[in-house]
Amino acid sequence: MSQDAGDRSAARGALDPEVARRVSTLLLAARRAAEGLASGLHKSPHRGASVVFVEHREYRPGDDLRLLDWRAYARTDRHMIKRFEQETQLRGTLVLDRSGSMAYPTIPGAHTKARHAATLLAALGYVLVRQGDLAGAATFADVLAPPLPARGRPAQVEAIATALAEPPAEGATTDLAGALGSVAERAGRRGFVAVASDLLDLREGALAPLAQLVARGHDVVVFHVLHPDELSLPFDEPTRFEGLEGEATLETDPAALRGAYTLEIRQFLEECRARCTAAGARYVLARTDVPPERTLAELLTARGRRGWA
Amino acid sequence: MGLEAPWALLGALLAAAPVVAHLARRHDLPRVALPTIALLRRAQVASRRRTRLVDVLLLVARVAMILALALGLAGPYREVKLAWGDGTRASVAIILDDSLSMARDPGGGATPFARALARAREVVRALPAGSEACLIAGGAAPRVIAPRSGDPAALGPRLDALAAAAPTRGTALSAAVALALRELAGSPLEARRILVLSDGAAHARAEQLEAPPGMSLEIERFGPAPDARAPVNRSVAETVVVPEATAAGRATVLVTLRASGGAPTAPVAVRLEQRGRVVARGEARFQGDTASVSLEGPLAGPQDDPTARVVIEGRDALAGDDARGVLLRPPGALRVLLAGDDDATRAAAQALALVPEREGAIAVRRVDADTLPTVALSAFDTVLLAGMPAPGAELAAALRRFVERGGGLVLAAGDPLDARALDAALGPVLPARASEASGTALPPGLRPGDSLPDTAPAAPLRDATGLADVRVTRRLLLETPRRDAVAALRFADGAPALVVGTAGSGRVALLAVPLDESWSDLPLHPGFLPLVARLARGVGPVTRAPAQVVSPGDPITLPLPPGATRLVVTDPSGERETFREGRAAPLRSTTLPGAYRVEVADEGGVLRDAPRLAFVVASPADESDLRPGPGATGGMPRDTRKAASARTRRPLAPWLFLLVGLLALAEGALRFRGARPPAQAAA
Repeated sequence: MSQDAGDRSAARGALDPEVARRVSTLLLAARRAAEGLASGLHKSPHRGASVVFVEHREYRPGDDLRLLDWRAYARTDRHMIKRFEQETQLRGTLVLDRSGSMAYPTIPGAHTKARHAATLLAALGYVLVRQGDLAGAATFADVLAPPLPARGRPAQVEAIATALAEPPAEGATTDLAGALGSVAERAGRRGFVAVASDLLDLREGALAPLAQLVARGHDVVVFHVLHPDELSLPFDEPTRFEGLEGEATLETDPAALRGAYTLEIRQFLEECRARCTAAGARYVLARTDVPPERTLAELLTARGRRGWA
Repeated sequence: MGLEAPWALLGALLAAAPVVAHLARRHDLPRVALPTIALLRRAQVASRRRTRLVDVLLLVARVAMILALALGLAGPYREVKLAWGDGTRASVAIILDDSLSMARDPGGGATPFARALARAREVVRALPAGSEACLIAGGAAPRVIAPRSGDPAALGPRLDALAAAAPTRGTALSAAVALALRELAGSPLEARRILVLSDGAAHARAEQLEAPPGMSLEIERFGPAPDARAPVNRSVAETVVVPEATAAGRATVLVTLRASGGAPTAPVAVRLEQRGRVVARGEARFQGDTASVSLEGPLAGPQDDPTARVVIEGRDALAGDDARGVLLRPPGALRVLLAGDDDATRAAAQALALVPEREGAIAVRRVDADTLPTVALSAFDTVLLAGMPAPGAELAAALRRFVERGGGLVLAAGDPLDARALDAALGPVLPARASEASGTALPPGLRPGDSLPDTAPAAPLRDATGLADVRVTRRLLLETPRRDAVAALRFADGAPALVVGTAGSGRVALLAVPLDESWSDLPLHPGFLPLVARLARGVGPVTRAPAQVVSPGDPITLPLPPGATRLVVTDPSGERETFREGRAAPLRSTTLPGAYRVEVADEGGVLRDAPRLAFVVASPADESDLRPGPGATGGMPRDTRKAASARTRRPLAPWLFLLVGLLALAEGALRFRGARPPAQAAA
């Protein structure tokens, strides 16, 4: 079996029924209310006709007169507009990094970063569809591939898994800024965007489009997918290191560099977290040696504690 | 310098191994794909300077480690000239002469004693590993300063302690060699050697020292060569104190000086010091090698400090014998109080007055029975009651107290003595119960009683002679002596005639016949005089210090006087030593020459001088004779010179292996430091 075929079947298998069952017990709650066409379980920032009263505000010309609160007018002699919560349907976009670096480890049959990221996103898609929301998918390396439109039908889960199961393109470089900018343009407004990537695009402004997504009202979650080898550099003998995105080779003694490398990777993680947080996105470190359902459970539980569920 | 196995140096070629291994591995590096190679490259740039230094140090450490290992395996050694011995393991006894003559002034430089100490340290350092050593002081009396030990370095502190005390003793090298032989007797090593470090003075008789077969004896001299001229030295050889017959409270000190190495022609100034004050000064003119001078000083009273010293002024080769302690006190005497019937006490007093001076003086005071209760008994050693009635309650209590505190009491029968009253008054201290006197017709003669050991209280009486014809017409019946008492004399029918026992710290003698002629003709027999004298001495306490001069280091025992609760001894340097318990004070710290002052505290705790207990410590006169003794050479014996020129190989491999270990530790530390983050490393 070729590696590509293996990854594809693995992506299909990424939606492990056991994983899906565990994850399905958790409700995804968006940080912000999402707007949608159909009523759902998520709160919408749009105030309108509903049964749940939110607040009064001063009447402004052009407001719907049906929303005037005549009783308040009788009491206060002021024109007040009643505002209500409106339940909406969430629109989720699952974005997967398919650059060459996501193919690590390169050992045939190994649990690659790409496969781990696909599993995470597919599980999210399953949750979204299961609770009646819409879910779509997109992959990128140096450019954004044509995305899978968001839909809410049950067959969408398999379509998402199929789209995410594509193996990383060998040697493909990462252009985070370009890809996320394209996602920001196509994802519409007030949705949920989950990005799974190793973020190994060290150029300045690579994560800047996250701010655009947040500005458009999206609830953005960034899964920083890394293999334990990348975190600890567990090599002792002098080694010739090769990059997966066309970088020049490097011959060095990793034992001697381990200390400095640990500082570098720690600084890199902190920078990624800081930039995501500054942009208003949520940052989640997703180690490939941590089961994806645990990563998702921690994320969704934290959101529930903040009262968004 | 040399190598035991030079071929092992080929192993040094392995020093190139780290470089070769590094170059070889560069061609065959494993390939590893790493997504974060950009971060790794950044880390390399950040730590390039540090890692390069660490790499160089690592390379140096590894190469040095291999070189040191190869050199160590080659067995390098260093040839050294031994300070002593032939480099073989041996059991060595070092005899260090710490006699007074070792403190002589060599006319510049260190004294022979200091040089001998330094030499002993050299010898100890020269002993190869596995050797044994012991240290013996050769001054009289010889003593083991450090017992035989497999760790010769342990002798160092003992030598330091020995160096702290100035040599003052006599010389006893022969006894020291005998002591060394005993120390070496149990050694498991075959080679056994004795090294004597002495000034080789004539009085040391080092040439007579011998070692048994199979054992070497080497003598190193630190004095002048045998053919050298003896240094000029004067010493105070003897002092005699004679109370002035015409001036009360004054004494004349007859000082005898001796010279060696040539007598000075000019008069020698001598002074008498008491408590740091010069009380008399005189000049002595040598005739031959001796000179004498008389100095007059104050005579100490019964409770005064009698210590003083005679000092020769000027410098000579040996300062330690230029002063000598002297005691300005009257000759010691046994103090006897005679009380009772006039005839009986007169006979006893006449007997005591006839005691030869060489047996020790006896001071006698006679009082009658009425005066006795007013006399302070503590001023006497022995109280002899002859022909007086039994004491009253008050006097009896005083007598019992006197005996229990160590005094001697002699009770002689007589007409006035009521046996029952005596038993009632002094029963607890009497050695035997007395019955009424009765007339008898016994065969003549008093014979020695029970067999007495030397330590028995009545031992002086066992040789009583001249009593075989004593006729007894009346006697006091003495019952069987108590368990701790003995019958020193018996009548012809076997009945006890004289019973002696102990009570508390004192002794009591009960004589069944009077000391006058009323009941027997005892005073008319030649044995009467020694009997009375021995009675007075035998029951009296020994309250005088040894009459003869004590040699430095000789332990002495000072008897505690009756009633004394504390005894304080002050040595010539002012150091005080206190004794609180027991009947005697065992004094061991007599190494300092001079006069030792002794004070005694009574029950009230008041300290008073006890001039009768003061004593003098003086180095033997032989030590002042600094003439060199005969010897094989002027320096060292031949065998010692030969041993000193011996060379031995000191292996250097242990040091190199230690270096290898340290380099291995350094290499590990460098690897560990290289693996730590720079921030931690900086911390």
